[in-house]
Amino acid sequence: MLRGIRESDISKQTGRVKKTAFIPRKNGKDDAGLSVSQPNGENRGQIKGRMGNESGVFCSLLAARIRSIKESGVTLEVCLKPTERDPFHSLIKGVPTDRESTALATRLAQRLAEISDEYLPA
Amino acid sequence: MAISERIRYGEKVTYTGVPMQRGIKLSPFVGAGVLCGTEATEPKIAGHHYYTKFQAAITKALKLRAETGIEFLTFSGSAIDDSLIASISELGEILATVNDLAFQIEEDEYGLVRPSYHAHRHCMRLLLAMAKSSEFIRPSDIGTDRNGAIRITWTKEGRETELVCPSEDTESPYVYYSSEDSYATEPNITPEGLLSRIRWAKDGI
Repeated sequence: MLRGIRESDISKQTGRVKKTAFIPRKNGKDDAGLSVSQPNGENRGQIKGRMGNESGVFCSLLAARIRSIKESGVTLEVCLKPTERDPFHSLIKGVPTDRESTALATRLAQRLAEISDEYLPA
Repeated sequence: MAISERIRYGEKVTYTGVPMQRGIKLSPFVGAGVLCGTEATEPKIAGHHYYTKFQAAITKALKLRAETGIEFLTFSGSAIDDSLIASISELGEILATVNDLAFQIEEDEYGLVRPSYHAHRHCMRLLLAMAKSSEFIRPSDIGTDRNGAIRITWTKEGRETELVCPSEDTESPYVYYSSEDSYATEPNITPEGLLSRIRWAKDGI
């Protein structure tokens, strides 16, 4: 799976993806899940257009590894959720967005970052 | 050793001192995170030239001091302490990075980028208070998330302590800390509490 991220979501020291790439947004923006998309052998420009990512920075992670993340009774899931622009759009479901679950949401973001690598399309 | 021998042109530093104008001492100031040596000629501790060059920075520093109520470390041209300079230089670099976050774009396609004044104020207050009370431990990372929260992280050997200063006016700073087998948040964080958590991340105790 691919996720559009900011350049600042890549650590300058380690080159690893930071958990800020997976911290859910507030005010209901990520209540349905965290947006990802399936790769389809496209170049950077095509992926940028399909995923609406102006910066052209992405990270990749395997759906099977996302589903293997279990924390405090929560198991993450990945579901296909096509949009008009992106037929491969999917959602990582299970990351809580309420204020009381900040610690769990941060932990899950940390776990997702650990299984992610910067993705450099052709 | 003169200050100009330790601070090079173009280097981001924190200038702290007692400026003088025509032999009269002015209020002590700190230009934490707002001064860049590129505009300077020869950096000096005191003197009319230095004062006028960095008038805007000094104004900002005094405003910050008035808002936080924190008395800054100060020195005069004739009494420079090497360890103080080292800690100020270190602190200045970190505060400059935090300060730079305020000059990012407001938001992008992923959400907020620039932290709010609320987040900055709390962040600066905690960092300065921590620096004043003890040695300052260099963070592993400084940045913002998609909610515009400032996140400052200290990591070592699988342990992590993160100061989070949310942008929302209704939220207070908190600490997230984690190891391989545990994690939690600590609300209502104090400078002492933050330092204790940072030491845990760095030393495991």
